[in-house]
Amino acid sequence: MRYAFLDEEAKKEIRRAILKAVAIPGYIVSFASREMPVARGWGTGGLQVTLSIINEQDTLKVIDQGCDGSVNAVNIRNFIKSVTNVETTTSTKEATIIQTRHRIPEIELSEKQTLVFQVPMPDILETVEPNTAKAKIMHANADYSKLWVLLYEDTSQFGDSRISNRYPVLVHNRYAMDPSPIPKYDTPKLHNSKALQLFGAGREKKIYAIPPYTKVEPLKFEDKEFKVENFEGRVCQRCGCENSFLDEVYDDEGKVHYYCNDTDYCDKNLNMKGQK
Amino acid sequence: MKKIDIERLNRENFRSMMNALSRPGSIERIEPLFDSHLLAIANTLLYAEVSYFYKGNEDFELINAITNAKDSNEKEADYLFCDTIDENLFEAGKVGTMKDPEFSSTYIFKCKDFCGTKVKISGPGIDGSFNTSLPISKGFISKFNEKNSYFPLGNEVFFINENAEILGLSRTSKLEIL
Repeated sequence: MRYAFLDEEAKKEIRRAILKAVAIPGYIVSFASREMPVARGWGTGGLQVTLSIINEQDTLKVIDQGCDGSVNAVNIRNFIKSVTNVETTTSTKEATIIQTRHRIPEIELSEKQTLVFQVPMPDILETVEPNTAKAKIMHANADYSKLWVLLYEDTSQFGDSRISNRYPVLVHNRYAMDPSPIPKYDTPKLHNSKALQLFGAGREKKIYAIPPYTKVEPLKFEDKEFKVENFEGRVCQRCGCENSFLDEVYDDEGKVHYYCNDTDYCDKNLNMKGQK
Repeated sequence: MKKIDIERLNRENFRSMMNALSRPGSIERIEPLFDSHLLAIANTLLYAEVSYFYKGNEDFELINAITNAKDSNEKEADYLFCDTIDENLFEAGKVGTMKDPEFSSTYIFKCKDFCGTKVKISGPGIDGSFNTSLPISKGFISKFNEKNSYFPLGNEVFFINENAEILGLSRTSKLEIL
Protein backbone atom coordinates (compact mmCIF):
# COMPACT_ATOMS: atom_id res chain seq x y z
CA MET A 1 0.00 0.00 0.00
CA ARG A 2 1.12 3.55 -0.68
CA TYR A 3 2.28 5.77 2.13
CA ALA A 4 -0.71 7.66 3.52
CA PHE A 5 -3.25 5.73 1.44
CA LEU A 6 -3.86 8.34 -1.27
CA ASP A 7 -2.08 8.09 -4.61
CA GLU A 8 0.51 10.75 -5.38
CA GLU A 9 -1.66 12.48 -8.00
CA ALA A 10 -4.49 12.89 -5.45
CA LYS A 11 -2.08 14.21 -2.84
CA LYS A 12 -0.63 16.74 -5.27
CA GLU A 13 -4.09 18.04 -6.10
CA ILE A 14 -5.03 18.35 -2.43
CA ARG A 15 -1.67 19.98 -1.66
CA ARG A 16 -2.27 22.54 -4.41
CA ALA A 17 -5.68 23.32 -2.87
CA ILE A 18 -4.05 23.65 0.58
CA LEU A 19 -1.38 26.07 -0.69
CA LYS A 20 -4.01 28.20 -2.44
CA ALA A 21 -6.21 28.12 0.67
CA VAL A 22 -3.30 29.27 2.85
CA ALA A 23 -2.54 32.08 0.38
CA ILE A 24 -6.18 33.26 0.34
CA PRO A 25 -7.30 33.06 4.00
CA GLY A 26 -10.96 32.10 4.38
CA TYR A 27 -11.54 31.43 0.68
CA ILE A 28 -13.08 28.06 -0.21
CA VAL A 29 -11.00 26.06 -2.71
CA SER A 30 -12.65 23.16 -4.54
CA PHE A 31 -10.89 19.82 -4.87
CA ALA A 32 -11.71 16.36 -6.19
CA SER A 33 -12.57 14.56 -2.97
CA ARG A 34 -11.58 10.87 -3.12
CA GLU A 35 -13.39 7.80 -1.87
CA MET A 36 -12.07 6.95 1.57
CA PRO A 37 -12.52 3.84 3.70
CA VAL A 38 -14.96 5.77 5.90
CA ALA A 39 -18.33 7.12 4.85
CA ARG A 40 -18.58 10.69 3.60
CA GLY A 41 -19.65 12.90 6.44
CA TRP A 42 -17.47 11.01 8.92
CA GLY A 43 -14.42 13.16 8.50
CA THR A 44 -13.19 12.31 5.01
CA GLY A 45 -12.26 15.94 4.30
CA GLY A 46 -10.09 16.27 7.37
CA LEU A 47 -8.70 12.81 6.70
CA GLN A 48 -7.64 13.69 3.15
CA VAL A 49 -6.03 16.92 4.31
CA THR A 50 -4.13 15.10 7.07
CA LEU A 51 -3.00 12.32 4.73
CA SER A 52 -1.73 14.87 2.23
CA ILE A 53 0.38 16.82 4.71
CA ILE A 54 1.60 14.08 7.04
CA ASN A 55 5.15 12.72 6.97
CA GLU A 56 7.42 10.42 8.99
CA GLN A 57 8.42 13.12 11.48
CA ASP A 58 4.87 13.88 12.59
CA THR A 59 3.09 13.01 15.80
CA LEU A 60 -0.64 12.71 15.32
CA LYS A 61 -3.54 13.43 17.64
CA VAL A 62 -7.17 12.95 16.65
CA ILE A 63 -10.07 14.29 18.69
CA ASP A 64 -13.80 14.10 18.33
CA GLN A 65 -15.60 16.77 20.39
CA GLY A 66 -12.49 17.13 22.54
CA CYS A 67 -12.23 13.41 23.22
CA ASP A 68 -9.39 11.14 22.05
CA GLY A 69 -11.38 8.03 22.86
CA SER A 70 -14.58 8.37 20.85
CA VAL A 71 -15.41 6.04 17.95
CA ASN A 72 -14.69 8.58 15.21
CA ALA A 73 -11.37 9.69 16.70
CA VAL A 74 -10.12 6.18 17.50
CA ASN A 75 -10.92 4.83 14.05
CA ILE A 76 -9.42 7.76 12.16
CA ARG A 77 -6.28 7.65 14.33
CA ASN A 78 -5.92 3.89 13.85
CA PHE A 79 -6.42 4.21 10.12
CA ILE A 80 -3.84 6.99 9.70
CA LYS A 81 -1.41 5.05 11.91
CA SER A 82 -1.91 1.90 9.80
CA VAL A 83 -1.10 3.69 6.52
CA THR A 84 1.73 5.95 7.72
CA ASN A 85 3.19 4.34 10.84
CA VAL A 86 3.52 7.79 12.45
CA GLU A 87 3.67 8.27 16.20
CA THR A 88 0.28 8.97 17.76
CA THR A 89 -0.47 10.73 21.00
CA THR A 90 -3.35 11.97 23.11
CA SER A 91 -1.26 14.86 24.41
CA THR A 92 -2.12 18.17 22.75
CA LYS A 93 1.36 19.53 23.49
CA GLU A 94 3.24 16.66 21.85
CA ALA A 95 1.21 16.53 18.63
CA THR A 96 2.39 18.19 15.43
CA ILE A 97 -0.84 17.49 13.56
CA ILE A 98 -4.16 17.55 15.40
CA GLN A 99 -7.18 16.40 13.45
CA THR A 100 -10.34 17.59 15.13
CA ARG A 101 -14.06 17.25 14.91
CA HIS A 102 -15.87 20.27 16.32
CA ARG A 103 -13.43 21.48 19.00
CA ILE A 104 -10.23 23.46 19.37
CA PRO A 105 -8.04 22.07 22.17
CA GLU A 106 -8.26 23.88 25.49
CA ILE A 107 -4.57 24.85 25.71
CA GLU A 108 -3.00 27.36 23.32
CA LEU A 109 -1.43 25.71 20.28
CA SER A 110 2.14 26.39 19.19
CA GLU A 111 3.74 27.51 15.92
CA LYS A 112 4.90 23.98 15.14
CA GLN A 113 1.38 22.59 15.12
CA THR A 114 -1.25 22.24 12.42
CA LEU A 115 -4.91 21.90 13.31
CA VAL A 116 -7.02 20.04 10.74
CA PHE A 117 -10.79 20.46 11.04
CA GLN A 118 -13.39 18.00 9.77
CA VAL A 119 -16.04 20.18 8.18
CA PRO A 120 -19.60 19.08 7.34
CA MET A 121 -20.82 22.30 5.66
CA PRO A 122 -18.03 24.52 4.36
CA ASP A 123 -19.96 27.52 3.07
CA ILE A 124 -21.43 29.82 5.70
CA LEU A 125 -23.66 31.39 3.04
CA GLU A 126 -25.48 28.08 2.65
CA THR A 127 -27.82 29.06 5.51
CA VAL A 128 -28.94 32.21 3.67
CA GLU A 129 -28.33 31.32 0.01
CA PRO A 130 -28.93 27.68 -0.99
CA ASN A 131 -27.83 28.29 -4.60
CA THR A 132 -24.08 27.60 -4.48
CA ALA A 133 -23.39 29.44 -7.77
CA LYS A 134 -25.01 32.57 -6.35
CA ALA A 135 -23.16 32.11 -3.06
CA LYS A 136 -19.84 32.02 -4.96
CA ILE A 137 -20.67 35.34 -6.62
CA MET A 138 -21.60 36.76 -3.21
CA HIS A 139 -18.19 35.70 -1.89
CA ALA A 140 -16.55 37.28 -4.96
CA ASN A 141 -18.30 40.57 -4.23
CA ALA A 142 -17.83 40.26 -0.45
CA ASP A 143 -21.60 40.62 -0.33
CA TYR A 144 -22.59 39.33 3.08
CA SER A 145 -25.75 41.42 3.43
CA LYS A 146 -27.95 38.32 3.77
CA LEU A 147 -25.86 37.12 6.71
CA TRP A 148 -26.19 40.55 8.32
CA VAL A 149 -29.96 40.45 7.76
CA LEU A 150 -30.09 37.05 9.50
CA LEU A 151 -28.15 38.49 12.43
CA TYR A 152 -30.37 41.57 12.48
CA GLU A 153 -33.57 39.49 12.50
CA ASP A 154 -32.29 37.43 15.42
CA THR A 155 -31.09 40.48 17.32
CA SER A 156 -34.32 42.42 16.83
CA GLN A 157 -36.52 39.47 17.82
CA PHE A 158 -34.47 37.77 20.51
CA GLY A 159 -31.95 40.37 21.60
CA ASP A 160 -28.99 38.40 20.25
CA SER A 161 -28.00 35.92 17.58
CA ARG A 162 -29.50 32.44 18.02
CA ILE A 163 -26.50 30.74 16.39
CA SER A 164 -25.11 28.40 19.04
CA ASN A 165 -22.22 26.86 17.12
CA ARG A 166 -20.64 27.22 13.66
CA TYR A 167 -20.73 30.97 14.26
CA PRO A 168 -19.84 32.96 11.09
CA VAL A 169 -16.46 34.69 11.17
CA LEU A 170 -14.78 37.25 8.94
CA VAL A 171 -11.22 36.28 8.00
CA HIS A 172 -8.56 38.89 7.19
CA ASN A 173 -11.34 41.50 6.81
CA ARG A 174 -12.48 39.84 3.60
CA TYR A 175 -14.11 36.39 3.55
CA ALA A 176 -17.03 35.25 5.69
CA MET A 177 -16.10 31.73 6.74
CA ASP A 178 -17.71 28.72 8.36
CA PRO A 179 -15.46 27.74 11.26
CA SER A 180 -17.00 24.19 11.28
CA PRO A 181 -19.41 23.37 14.12
CA ILE A 182 -17.14 24.48 16.96
CA PRO A 183 -18.92 26.00 19.97
CA LYS A 184 -18.90 29.80 20.29
CA TYR A 185 -16.49 29.24 23.19
CA ASP A 186 -13.82 28.24 20.61
CA THR A 187 -14.49 31.01 18.08
CA PRO A 188 -12.09 33.56 19.67
CA LYS A 189 -9.30 30.94 19.53
CA LEU A 190 -9.33 31.13 15.72
CA HIS A 191 -8.06 34.70 15.92
CA ASN A 192 -4.31 35.18 15.82
CA SER A 193 -3.70 31.47 16.42
CA LYS A 194 -0.05 30.44 16.42
CA ALA A 195 -0.94 27.22 14.60
CA LEU A 196 -1.89 26.81 10.96
CA GLN A 197 -5.58 25.87 10.70
CA LEU A 198 -6.77 23.78 7.76
CA PHE A 199 -10.39 22.89 7.05
CA GLY A 200 -11.44 19.92 4.90
CA ALA A 201 -14.96 19.05 3.76
CA GLY A 202 -14.89 15.69 1.96
CA ARG A 203 -18.55 15.35 1.05
CA GLU A 204 -18.68 18.95 -0.19
CA LYS A 205 -15.21 18.72 -1.82
CA LYS A 206 -13.85 21.93 -0.30
CA ILE A 207 -10.70 23.03 1.50
CA TYR A 208 -10.01 26.34 3.22
CA ALA A 209 -7.51 27.66 5.70
CA ILE A 210 -6.51 30.25 8.24
CA PRO A 211 -2.75 30.90 8.34
CA PRO A 212 -1.15 31.60 11.73
CA TYR A 213 -1.48 35.12 13.14
CA THR A 214 -4.50 35.99 11.01
CA LYS A 215 -7.31 38.31 12.02
CA VAL A 216 -10.52 36.33 12.54
CA GLU A 217 -13.55 38.13 13.93
CA PRO A 218 -17.04 36.83 14.65
CA LEU A 219 -19.65 38.59 12.53
CA LYS A 220 -21.28 40.90 15.02
CA PHE A 221 -22.93 44.30 15.21
CA GLU A 222 -20.65 46.92 16.71
CA ASP A 223 -22.89 47.54 19.70
CA LYS A 224 -23.31 43.84 20.49
CA GLU A 225 -20.79 41.92 22.52
CA PHE A 226 -19.85 38.43 21.28
CA LYS A 227 -20.97 36.14 24.07
CA VAL A 228 -19.66 32.61 24.52
CA GLU A 229 -21.13 29.72 26.52
CA ASN A 230 -21.22 30.48 30.22
CA PHE A 231 -20.20 27.81 32.75
CA GLU A 232 -20.13 30.10 35.76
CA GLY A 233 -20.56 28.28 39.03
CA ARG A 234 -19.89 24.89 37.44
CA VAL A 235 -16.78 22.80 37.80
CA CYS A 236 -15.54 19.61 36.20
CA GLN A 237 -16.47 16.80 38.59
CA ARG A 238 -13.38 14.85 37.59
CA CYS A 239 -10.54 17.38 37.78
CA GLY A 240 -12.20 20.33 39.48
CA CYS A 241 -11.40 22.75 36.65
CA GLU A 242 -13.49 25.92 36.69
CA ASN A 243 -12.50 27.47 33.38
CA SER A 244 -12.88 24.88 30.65
CA PHE A 245 -15.60 23.98 28.16
CA LEU A 246 -17.82 21.49 30.01
CA ASP A 247 -19.95 18.56 28.87
CA GLU A 248 -23.33 18.15 30.50
CA VAL A 249 -23.89 14.46 31.32
CA TYR A 250 -27.10 12.98 32.71
CA ASP A 251 -26.85 9.84 34.83
CA ASP A 252 -29.51 7.11 35.19
CA GLU A 253 -31.29 9.06 37.90
CA GLY A 254 -31.52 12.15 35.74
CA LYS A 255 -28.90 14.06 37.74
CA VAL A 256 -26.65 16.43 35.81
CA HIS A 257 -22.86 16.09 35.97
CA TYR A 258 -20.25 18.31 34.36
CA TYR A 259 -16.94 17.13 32.92
CA CYS A 260 -14.19 18.82 30.86
CA ASN A 261 -14.93 18.32 27.17
CA ASP A 262 -11.20 18.22 26.36
CA THR A 263 -10.16 14.86 27.84
CA ASP A 264 -6.41 15.49 27.53
CA TYR A 265 -6.77 18.79 29.37
CA CYS A 266 -8.76 17.02 32.10
CA ASP A 267 -6.17 14.22 32.40
CA LYS A 268 -3.33 16.76 32.64
CA ASN A 269 -5.19 18.62 35.41
CA LEU A 270 -5.64 15.36 37.32
CA ASN A 271 -1.96 14.45 36.87
CA MET A 272 -0.88 17.84 38.18
CA LYS A 273 -3.13 17.44 41.21
CA GLY A 274 -1.67 13.97 41.82
CA GLN A 275 1.88 15.38 41.71
CA LYS A 276 1.00 18.05 44.27
CA MET B 1 22.68 2.82 -7.99
CA LYS B 2 21.20 5.08 -5.33
CA LYS B 3 17.50 4.48 -4.81
CA ILE B 4 15.33 7.61 -4.62
CA ASP B 5 11.98 7.66 -2.86
CA ILE B 6 10.35 10.47 -4.83
CA GLU B 7 7.11 10.39 -2.83
CA ARG B 8 9.01 10.83 0.44
CA LEU B 9 10.87 13.78 -1.06
CA ASN B 10 7.59 15.27 -2.24
CA ARG B 11 5.93 15.07 1.15
CA GLU B 12 8.92 16.58 2.92
CA ASN B 13 9.35 19.35 0.37
CA PHE B 14 5.63 20.06 0.40
CA ARG B 15 5.69 20.53 4.19
CA SER B 16 8.57 22.96 3.79
CA MET B 17 6.57 24.87 1.16
CA MET B 18 3.42 24.86 3.30
CA ASN B 19 5.38 26.15 6.29
CA ALA B 20 7.15 28.77 4.16
CA LEU B 21 3.86 30.05 2.72
CA SER B 22 1.93 30.00 5.97
CA ARG B 23 4.76 31.93 7.66
CA PRO B 24 6.00 34.32 4.93
CA GLY B 25 9.62 35.31 5.34
CA SER B 26 10.53 32.18 7.33
CA ILE B 27 13.21 29.87 5.94
CA GLU B 28 12.70 26.12 5.44
CA ARG B 29 14.97 23.31 4.21
CA ILE B 30 14.33 21.46 0.98
CA GLU B 31 15.80 18.26 -0.38
CA PRO B 32 17.07 17.97 -3.95
CA LEU B 33 15.85 15.65 -6.69
CA PHE B 34 18.25 14.74 -9.53
CA ASP B 35 20.77 17.06 -7.80
CA SER B 36 18.45 20.03 -8.30
CA HIS B 37 16.35 21.93 -5.77
CA LEU B 38 14.25 23.51 -8.51
CA LEU B 39 13.38 20.12 -9.99
CA ALA B 40 12.51 18.82 -6.53
CA ILE B 41 10.02 21.66 -6.06
CA ALA B 42 8.71 21.20 -9.61
CA ASN B 43 8.11 17.52 -8.91
CA THR B 44 6.30 18.40 -5.67
CA LEU B 45 3.94 20.84 -7.37
CA LEU B 46 3.33 19.51 -10.86
CA TYR B 47 0.80 16.89 -11.91
CA ALA B 48 -1.31 16.15 -14.97
CA GLU B 49 -3.96 18.81 -14.36
CA VAL B 50 -1.69 21.84 -13.96
CA SER B 51 0.47 23.75 -16.40
CA TYR B 52 3.88 25.31 -16.05
CA PHE B 53 6.34 27.59 -17.77
CA TYR B 54 10.08 27.34 -17.27
CA LYS B 55 12.74 29.89 -18.19
CA GLY B 56 16.20 28.54 -17.55
CA ASN B 57 18.75 25.87 -18.26
CA GLU B 58 17.73 22.90 -16.16
CA ASP B 59 16.54 19.72 -17.82
CA PHE B 60 12.77 19.34 -17.24
CA GLU B 61 12.47 16.23 -19.41
CA LEU B 62 12.39 13.75 -16.53
CA ILE B 63 9.96 15.95 -14.57
CA ASN B 64 7.73 16.07 -17.65
CA ALA B 65 7.82 12.29 -17.88
CA ILE B 66 7.09 11.76 -14.17
CA THR B 67 4.43 14.42 -13.66
CA ASN B 68 2.82 14.70 -17.09
CA ALA B 69 2.18 18.41 -16.48
CA LYS B 70 1.33 20.66 -19.40
CA ASP B 71 4.02 22.95 -20.76
CA SER B 72 2.42 26.37 -21.23
CA ASN B 73 3.25 30.03 -21.77
CA GLU B 74 3.97 32.61 -19.07
CA LYS B 75 0.51 34.19 -19.28
CA GLU B 76 -1.44 31.00 -18.72
CA ALA B 77 0.80 28.75 -16.66
CA ASP B 78 -0.21 27.77 -13.12
CA TYR B 79 3.44 27.56 -12.07
CA LEU B 80 6.28 29.68 -13.41
CA PHE B 81 9.83 28.54 -12.73
CA CYS B 82 12.84 30.68 -13.47
CA ASP B 83 16.61 30.40 -12.92
CA THR B 84 16.82 34.12 -12.14
CA ILE B 85 14.54 36.61 -10.44
CA ASP B 86 12.93 37.98 -13.56
CA GLU B 87 10.76 41.07 -13.04
CA ASN B 88 9.21 40.90 -16.50
CA LEU B 89 8.21 37.29 -15.99
CA PHE B 90 6.68 38.23 -12.65
CA GLU B 91 4.56 40.82 -14.38
CA ALA B 92 3.27 38.35 -16.97
CA GLY B 93 1.56 35.73 -14.78
CA LYS B 94 -2.19 35.54 -14.18
CA VAL B 95 -3.64 36.83 -10.90
CA GLY B 96 -6.96 34.95 -10.91
CA THR B 97 -10.45 36.42 -10.90
CA MET B 98 -12.62 37.70 -8.04
CA LYS B 99 -14.75 34.57 -8.42
CA ASP B 100 -11.81 32.17 -8.71
CA PRO B 101 -8.75 33.84 -7.19
CA GLU B 102 -7.00 30.46 -6.97
CA PHE B 103 -6.67 30.37 -10.77
CA SER B 104 -3.50 32.41 -10.46
CA SER B 105 0.20 31.76 -11.03
CA THR B 106 2.69 30.69 -8.41
CA TYR B 107 6.31 31.71 -8.98
CA ILE B 108 9.41 29.75 -8.10
CA PHE B 109 12.62 31.73 -8.52
CA LYS B 110 16.15 30.49 -8.04
CA CYS B 111 18.62 32.79 -6.30
CA LYS B 112 22.11 32.63 -4.82
CA ASP B 113 21.06 33.53 -1.27
CA PHE B 114 18.35 35.53 0.46
CA CYS B 115 20.47 38.67 0.90
CA GLY B 116 19.30 41.79 -0.88
CA THR B 117 16.86 44.59 -0.17
CA LYS B 118 15.99 45.18 3.47
CA VAL B 119 12.24 45.12 4.01
CA LYS B 120 9.64 45.16 6.73
CA ILE B 121 7.25 42.30 6.16
CA SER B 122 3.74 41.98 7.62
CA GLY B 123 0.43 40.25 6.97
CA PRO B 124 -1.21 36.91 7.79
CA GLY B 125 1.31 34.33 8.99
CA ILE B 126 3.44 36.97 10.68
CA ASP B 127 3.19 37.97 14.32
CA GLY B 128 2.94 41.72 13.78
CA SER B 129 5.88 42.47 11.50
CA PHE B 130 9.60 41.86 11.25
CA ASN B 131 12.55 43.18 9.31
CA THR B 132 14.32 40.88 6.92
CA SER B 133 16.30 40.80 3.72
CA LEU B 134 14.86 39.53 0.45
CA PRO B 135 16.76 38.67 -2.75
CA ILE B 136 14.71 41.10 -4.82
CA SER B 137 15.16 44.62 -6.15
CA LYS B 138 13.13 47.67 -5.18
CA GLY B 139 11.46 47.47 -8.60
CA PHE B 140 10.38 43.89 -7.93
CA ILE B 141 9.01 44.88 -4.52
CA SER B 142 6.88 47.63 -6.00
CA LYS B 143 5.61 45.21 -8.68
CA PHE B 144 4.86 42.61 -5.99
CA ASN B 145 2.90 45.15 -3.94
CA GLU B 146 1.07 46.37 -7.02
CA LYS B 147 0.08 42.89 -8.27
CA ASN B 148 -1.13 41.92 -4.81
CA SER B 149 -2.87 45.19 -4.02
CA TYR B 150 -6.34 43.99 -4.94
CA PHE B 151 -6.88 41.02 -2.64
CA PRO B 152 -7.92 38.24 -3.27
CA LEU B 153 -6.20 38.64 -6.65
CA GLY B 154 -2.45 38.06 -6.65
CA ASN B 155 0.47 35.65 -6.75
CA GLU B 156 2.49 33.50 -4.39
CA VAL B 157 6.25 33.64 -4.76
CA PHE B 158 8.88 31.16 -3.58
CA PHE B 159 12.63 31.72 -3.63
CA ILE B 160 15.06 28.81 -3.58
CA ASN B 161 18.69 29.49 -2.74
CA GLU B 162 21.89 27.52 -3.29
CA ASN B 163 21.91 26.33 0.34
CA ALA B 164 18.81 24.18 -0.17
CA GLU B 165 16.53 26.70 1.53
CA ILE B 166 13.14 28.00 0.53
CA LEU B 167 11.38 31.25 1.44
CA GLY B 168 7.82 32.12 0.51
CA LEU B 169 5.76 35.26 0.09
CA SER B 170 1.99 35.07 0.08
CA ARG B 171 -0.32 37.40 -1.84
CA THR B 172 -1.36 38.78 1.57
CA SER B 173 2.24 39.71 2.50
CA LYS B 174 2.92 43.43 2.73
CA LEU B 175 6.48 44.52 1.90
CA GLU B 176 7.83 47.89 2.98
CA ILE B 177 11.32 48.97 1.84
CA LEU B 178 13.48 50.07 4.78
